[in-house]
Amino acid sequence: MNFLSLSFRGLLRNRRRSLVTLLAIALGFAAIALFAGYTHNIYRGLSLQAIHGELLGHLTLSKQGMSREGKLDPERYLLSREDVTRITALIRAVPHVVLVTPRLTLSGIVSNGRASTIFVAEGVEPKAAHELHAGVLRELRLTQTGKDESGVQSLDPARPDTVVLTRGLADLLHLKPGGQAALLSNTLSGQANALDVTVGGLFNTGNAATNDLYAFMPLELVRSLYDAEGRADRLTILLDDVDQTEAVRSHLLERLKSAGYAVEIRTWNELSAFYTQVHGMFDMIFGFIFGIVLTVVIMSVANSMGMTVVERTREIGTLRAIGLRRAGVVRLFMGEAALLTLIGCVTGLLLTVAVKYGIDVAGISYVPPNQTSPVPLLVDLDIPHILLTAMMMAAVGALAAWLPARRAARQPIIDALGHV
Amino acid sequence: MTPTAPPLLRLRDVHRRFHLGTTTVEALAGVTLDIHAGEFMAVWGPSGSGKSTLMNILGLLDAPSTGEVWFEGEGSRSLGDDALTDFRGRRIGFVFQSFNLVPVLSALENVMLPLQIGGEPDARERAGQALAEVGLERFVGSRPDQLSGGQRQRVAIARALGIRPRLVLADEPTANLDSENSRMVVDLMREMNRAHGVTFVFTTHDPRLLDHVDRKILLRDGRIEQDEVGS
Ligand SMILES: Nc1ncnc2c1ncn2[C@@H]1O[C@H](COP(=O)(O)OP(=O)(O)OP(=O)(O)O)[C@@H](O)[C@H]1O
Ligand SMILES: [Mg+2]
Repeated sequence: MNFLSLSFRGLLRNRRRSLVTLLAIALGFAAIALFAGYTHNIYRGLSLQAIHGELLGHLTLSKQGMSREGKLDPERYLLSREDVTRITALIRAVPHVVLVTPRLTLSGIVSNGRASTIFVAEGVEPKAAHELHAGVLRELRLTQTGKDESGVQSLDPARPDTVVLTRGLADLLHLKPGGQAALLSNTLSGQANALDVTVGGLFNTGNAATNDLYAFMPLELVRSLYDAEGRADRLTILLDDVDQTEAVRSHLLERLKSAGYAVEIRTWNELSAFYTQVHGMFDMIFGFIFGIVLTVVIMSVANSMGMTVVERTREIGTLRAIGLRRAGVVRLFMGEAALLTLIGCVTGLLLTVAVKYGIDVAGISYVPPNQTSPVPLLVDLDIPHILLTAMMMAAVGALAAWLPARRAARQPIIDALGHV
Repeated sequence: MTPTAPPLLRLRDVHRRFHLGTTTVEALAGVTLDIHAGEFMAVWGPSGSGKSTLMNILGLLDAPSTGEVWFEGEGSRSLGDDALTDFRGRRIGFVFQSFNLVPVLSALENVMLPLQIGGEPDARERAGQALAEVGLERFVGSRPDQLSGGQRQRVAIARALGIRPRLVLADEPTANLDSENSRMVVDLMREMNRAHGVTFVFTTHDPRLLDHVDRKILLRDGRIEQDEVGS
């Protein structure tokens, strides 16, 4: 028998009260763990969507100042042919890098011969686009959420004049896959230039503001419209591990700086506004739930321990008489509260696993905002958050017991012994 | 009990006052007393005469309002709360009127408790011995609610004796027992006093229990009215 077992047996004295407190803790814990698991799953899906679906890759490198000034003076911020070759070679040598590919954005006018509208096109090497996109295909196959609608697959290295349009853009001009269109744009030196292209696939951006604007084009097509042979406005870098994003970025910045290049590198989440917004919103909701649950835990533990301490006043007097210091009394009750909270968390964890399993088996799906097709409701086990929550709760539980325990420890022994 | 040996406990002009609102109760009104090692003594007197108050002061559970207490030559006022607590834990055993055993612990674990608090490595072994001495070796695993009143008080005596104390204080140890069990408890204390030389002080209302004590102190209105040695 030691003091831990004394604490444990203390909990068994008033089983109903301990059980009620434990259930409150378990339910609160499960609520936090399930919500953390749900958002974890959402974040994972959104990061895949950004990195692979939107072809952002993990890192985007451009000349220093490109993100702020590039629109005003495109020529100045384009990477030269030599820059592209040398920097690409440099980056390829870095661990975790699986792909480096040049990109060039173009804006201009697209016409069906009678009517025309503006467009913004992403110039990307078809093969590299397929590789970037492969990650999302893998995931789609894994979760079996219907078909790939990005259209990137119809960029074909063998057909360099094929472009991929957003559905909205194609509808505006009554264009169909296989149809012909003309693109008009200015070259870097300011001359008008035009090209005939074939419409390949169509895709949705999932966002009304861009769905009649965007297009994907083979990089070489953009370069010839721009008259920018071999150049690029940025390099897209794909890694083998999303968790290495930050580390590789700082490593690359250092390397390129010492090689004499002034560049800026942005990560996929900095570039994906949607990801950042959703993350911010869920973090706020998480903080809110966490706050409520912690308050409930504090209140139920404080209430339960407050009653326990009063009931056991005479026992506290006895323990003090036979040699237990004040601090020992405090430790006893704080230990009891911490134990109760931990058992509550373990129960909550079991509950979480059961609910997660239930959700998996039930195969629930729902239509998230800003999307057109239903996705399955999935919950991950977010272990770091679960551990953090358990630790926070045990600490908070012990703290909640501190005040009543201290009150009990400080009362005069003769009063405690005389208590009935 | 050599007359020259310094007393185990020395009280000098001890007063203890309780303030209840505007009135003040003087529970002890000037008690001067020496208790020597190995004594077996009873404190008796009418209800409200200050017996419990005196016992609390002897056990260093309470401090006098005025006056001085020395335990083995150590002035109680010089010790802080932790030191006083440790001092009690090593030297003084307590037996209470309503036993005050921890209900969720077995008899053995109850006896082990003060030993463990004191960090005694052989707690289990010594607790077992103490239980055997009070004749309860067959009940080591029993919870207090599985024991009779007399048995519970014997567990409490074993708990008090386990630490090998200098002094055991028992405030009304027989008040919740029938006369047969009362007799047995007092006889047991006497036996332990003889066997180990442990000093015992107990209080009682029952004059029949005063037969075999070495010394009887009669309290009245917070004063020692009679201090009678020998029986
Ligand atoms: N904590 C206290 N607060 C206020 N008054 C107290 C307190 N303890 C004791 N008294 C008072 O001091 C006096 C002596 O009480 P004490 O309990 O010492 O008497 P006692 O001899 O043990 O009585 P009993 O035989 O009933 O146990 C009583 O008048 C009692 O009311
Ligand atoms: Mg009394």
